[in-house]
Amino acid sequence: MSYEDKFDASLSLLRRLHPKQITANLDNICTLIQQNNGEDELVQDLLSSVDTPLKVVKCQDTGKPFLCCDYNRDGDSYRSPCSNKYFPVQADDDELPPFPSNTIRQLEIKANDAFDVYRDLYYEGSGISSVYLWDTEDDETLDGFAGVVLIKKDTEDGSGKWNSIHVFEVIPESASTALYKLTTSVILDLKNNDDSSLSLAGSLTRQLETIQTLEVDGGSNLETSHLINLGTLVEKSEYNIRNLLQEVYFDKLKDIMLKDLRSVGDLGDQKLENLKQSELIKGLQGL
Amino acid sequence: MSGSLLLEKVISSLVNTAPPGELIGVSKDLSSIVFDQAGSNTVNSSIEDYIKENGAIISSKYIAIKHNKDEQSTKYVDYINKKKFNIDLTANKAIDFEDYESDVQYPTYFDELVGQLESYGADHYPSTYAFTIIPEGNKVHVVIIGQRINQENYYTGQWKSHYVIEDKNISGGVKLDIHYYEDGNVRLNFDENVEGKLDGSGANSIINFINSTENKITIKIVENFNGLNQKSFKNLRRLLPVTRSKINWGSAIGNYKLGSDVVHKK
Repeated sequence: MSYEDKFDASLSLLRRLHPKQITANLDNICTLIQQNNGEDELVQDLLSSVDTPLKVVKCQDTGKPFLCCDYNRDGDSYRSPCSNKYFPVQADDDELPPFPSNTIRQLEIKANDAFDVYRDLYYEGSGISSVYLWDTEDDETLDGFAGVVLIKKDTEDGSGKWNSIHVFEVIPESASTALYKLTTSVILDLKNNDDSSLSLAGSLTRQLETIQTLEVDGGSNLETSHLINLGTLVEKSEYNIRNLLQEVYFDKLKDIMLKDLRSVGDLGDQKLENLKQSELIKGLQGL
Repeated sequence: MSGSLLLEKVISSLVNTAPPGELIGVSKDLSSIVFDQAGSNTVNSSIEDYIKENGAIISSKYIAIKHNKDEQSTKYVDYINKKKFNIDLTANKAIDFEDYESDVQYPTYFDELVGQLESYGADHYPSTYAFTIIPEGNKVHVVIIGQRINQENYYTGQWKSHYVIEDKNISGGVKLDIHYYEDGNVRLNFDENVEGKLDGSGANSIINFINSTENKITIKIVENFNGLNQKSFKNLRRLLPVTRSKINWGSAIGNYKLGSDVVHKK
């Protein structure tokens, strides 16, 4: 089997197997790959292309919690967006971990502040957000860069768990326009904790692209343009995916149960059946 | 842990999280990753274990589960048609049929219950439907599976009920497992145990119990959907901020912070 065949088979498997066990399943698939020939590149590529629920680590410098994914990881340590340092602290003899250039780091600080406001407004004051940026060009300017916006929120009773992962790339199109490519994934787990075992878990992914104009007559204006464009794009994408989650988790799955698996009414009279079920559901919704 | 033991453990824990209607696909994907013969054999035996433990529809009409596994061979027993069969895992087909007369005692209502379960399936199970009745000492197992495999529309699902009848006592459970995977991977799981008394001793009282139990459970799941939507999902991430308008990004974004600090009296 070629590298591509194994990579595709691994992704296909992760799309089939239970999303709640995605972290353990990814780990197990990596173990299988390493057992046969140990293809490290394949393992690294899988780890960077599969979204798993976000981990929370505490920044030792500021005391604030921050979110972790493959994009702020170096070995077993993660870079804090608050202090720009890696935690847990790495041994001195290690190779220097990756840091964003100064220009990109300045934008990263502002992006963290802006998305913290966004999180506060949309997530009712709770949850955690972290933004990480990195250079895609060698010249350390704002001409081309990439990043990820992460948001995590659990309800107090543990019945709802939300993880947003927005990965984007900014590619200069002309002197005053840039292409923004965004991939949004939301990992959403819902579980009834009271009198039933109903659990809805998983993730949906969507992509968006847009070309936007930039203010180019000064450094701070350019920064502001990027923040406006990225903020607007992430807000739009998250709005869309929230509607989609609502549709899939509540309408689609319920329809599959009632129309494909087990119907309450007698199938012998399909029309009567449809009427009964829509009345039944209407009645229940009115409760 | 030795290499082959580790391999076995890893593969079976992967297979255990497979959706019931996608075992063939899971087995194919896994075989591409493990590639050697020993690995493929382990994949096959994990799939067999999965079928034995969870039960499965074979050839769209037979059921294989640990309770009808023949102890003397690799086969499963179909007590209704008095046959034994093997499973071809690559095609999920029943093969190698042979006649089989079991010395186990059939309950008196057996034939009538077969007829009742047939019409019950036609009334309430819109897609692939299979059931089996397994006499086991003083007990009788009834296993019902309704399944839909709709790869074109990116979903598969299974409703499985298993009842054990002993005199007038009936107990068991219902499991629902739905997988939806268009541009994502979403899974519904529901699992509930039931227990009750039959109000008679014939096939009628059994089918009435099953029907009313399953209707109640279906309605309960619909209620739970609405509860999760209203209670857990709705305000997890708001549709719009309290201001009911989208955010004014840009340098003035700090003003929201000021506003919210005032509201929260920081």
